[in-house]
Amino acid sequence: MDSDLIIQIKNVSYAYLDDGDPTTEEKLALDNVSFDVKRGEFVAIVGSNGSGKSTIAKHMNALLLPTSGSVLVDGMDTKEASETAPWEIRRKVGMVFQNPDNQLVSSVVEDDVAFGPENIGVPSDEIRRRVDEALRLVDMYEHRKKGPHLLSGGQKQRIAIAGVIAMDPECVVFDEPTAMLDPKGRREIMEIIERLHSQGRTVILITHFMEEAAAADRIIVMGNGKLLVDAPPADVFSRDDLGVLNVPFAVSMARKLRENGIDVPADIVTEKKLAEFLCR
Amino acid sequence: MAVRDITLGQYYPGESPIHRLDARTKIICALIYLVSLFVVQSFSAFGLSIVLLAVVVMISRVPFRFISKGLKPIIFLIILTMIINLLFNTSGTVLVEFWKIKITDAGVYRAAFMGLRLVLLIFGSSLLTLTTKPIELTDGLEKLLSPLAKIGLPAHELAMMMTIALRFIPTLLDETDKIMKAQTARGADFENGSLKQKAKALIPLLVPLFVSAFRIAGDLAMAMEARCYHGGSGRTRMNQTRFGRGDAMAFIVMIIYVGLLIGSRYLPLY
Repeated sequence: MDSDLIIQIKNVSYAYLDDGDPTTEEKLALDNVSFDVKRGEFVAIVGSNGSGKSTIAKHMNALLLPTSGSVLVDGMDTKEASETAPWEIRRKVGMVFQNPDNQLVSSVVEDDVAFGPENIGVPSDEIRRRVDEALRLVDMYEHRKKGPHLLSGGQKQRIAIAGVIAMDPECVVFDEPTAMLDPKGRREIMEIIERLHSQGRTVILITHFMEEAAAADRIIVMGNGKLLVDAPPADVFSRDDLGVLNVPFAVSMARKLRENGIDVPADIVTEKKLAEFLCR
Repeated sequence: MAVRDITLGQYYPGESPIHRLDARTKIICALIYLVSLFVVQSFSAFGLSIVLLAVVVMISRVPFRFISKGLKPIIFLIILTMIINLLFNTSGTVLVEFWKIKITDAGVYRAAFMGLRLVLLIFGSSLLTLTTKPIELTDGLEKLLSPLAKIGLPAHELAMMMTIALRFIPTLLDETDKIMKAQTARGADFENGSLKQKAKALIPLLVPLFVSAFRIAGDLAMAMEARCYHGGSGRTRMNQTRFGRGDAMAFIVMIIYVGLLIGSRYLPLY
């Protein structure tokens, strides 16, 4: 067992809902996908709608089980674990979904954050401590007594993140967490994601936004259920054959600067780094 | 937003000793109080019930007009009950007689008695919801019902359902509002027409609402599973409720109250 790998995906294929009719051609949502995620890594998964990126995400905490192949989380096979205690996997790999409204359980913010730790049987005082800590981490402590319906989309999504953090997972999977938010909400969520990563947690971010993917250590590009590319952001953005992707602003800016004779290093893919480089 | 203005539950926020009581204490005391109203046989014993209610209201610092609001929807029922008692109770001495109707002193007594009982019932039960947050109520119910889990009553599941229902009422109201606006934009008319037309106009509202309710339920189930939900077994709670001195006091007061009520039945009172 490689102890520095938190998630190992080995030759995973997945077919949605076998309808029992042998004449219907089986459409694979995932087609022989393999990759590993190291502890503490920040991986972005991109791809168009129906590329299988959400499906692969749901495999990482046993919400879906592979039709063939296997998924190991911290050395545990998800297929075996889901027969006895799938929550042993889910407490290691937390998941934040797209729609902030549909993932909050309680009508009081702090009770909602406590939901996860309550489920895994954490003692009361410890839950209290974790809830406060998680709410502070997402800057929502002062809203702890409010009802979620009084909060903005971005704030609700931060509560959802706090709910996952309170379970203290090693790895957090974000399934398009910013898709339903306004630019301000998106920025806030990205800040928190980077904060989590800097704490040493493994982060897997599924997104449509290349600016967000650029912050990752590695980008996995999915298409038609297959893994197309698995490379650092700079390499992914330098490839022209992946026409579906529109490169982030910083990358196209760097390209234009290069055309005009300014030698911008190839690994500059975020606006922050570009600004740092240009201000030197 | 029009639909959003509906206030749900009628919790009156406060920090009074009554608000701070354990929800279980409040549920049990309210139940005892409601049952006691049916045991009472004399006006003087009702006096005791009124005094107790008045004291609790005073401690809770809930304005009286909030409590009396609860009467509005059933004022008609109260009046009807009183009239029926007034007209059809033929025992006792006749006070007024015209046409076929006799109003007797026993009738007047019964009418007043029933009216008072109904009013106290409403006040007693609304005081519970006014001083207890809906979420605390469901928690309290779960704990009260948990002994019955042994005989197969799904106490945890019931409480979880109530919690989720409370949580999603605003979400579904928002959804209704959205669908309503979308259908209005496409020419649907929810305001005008006969009752039948209005009822028909609701179909294009209800069908999408149900579809989206199912979608939300699917999403939520997935999110709950992802957060390790696996039923009530092995669950802990963040808010440990424990019986405090206030709760003990409340029970002592209730015991004295019930004792006095029972005692009053053996005294020649009116």
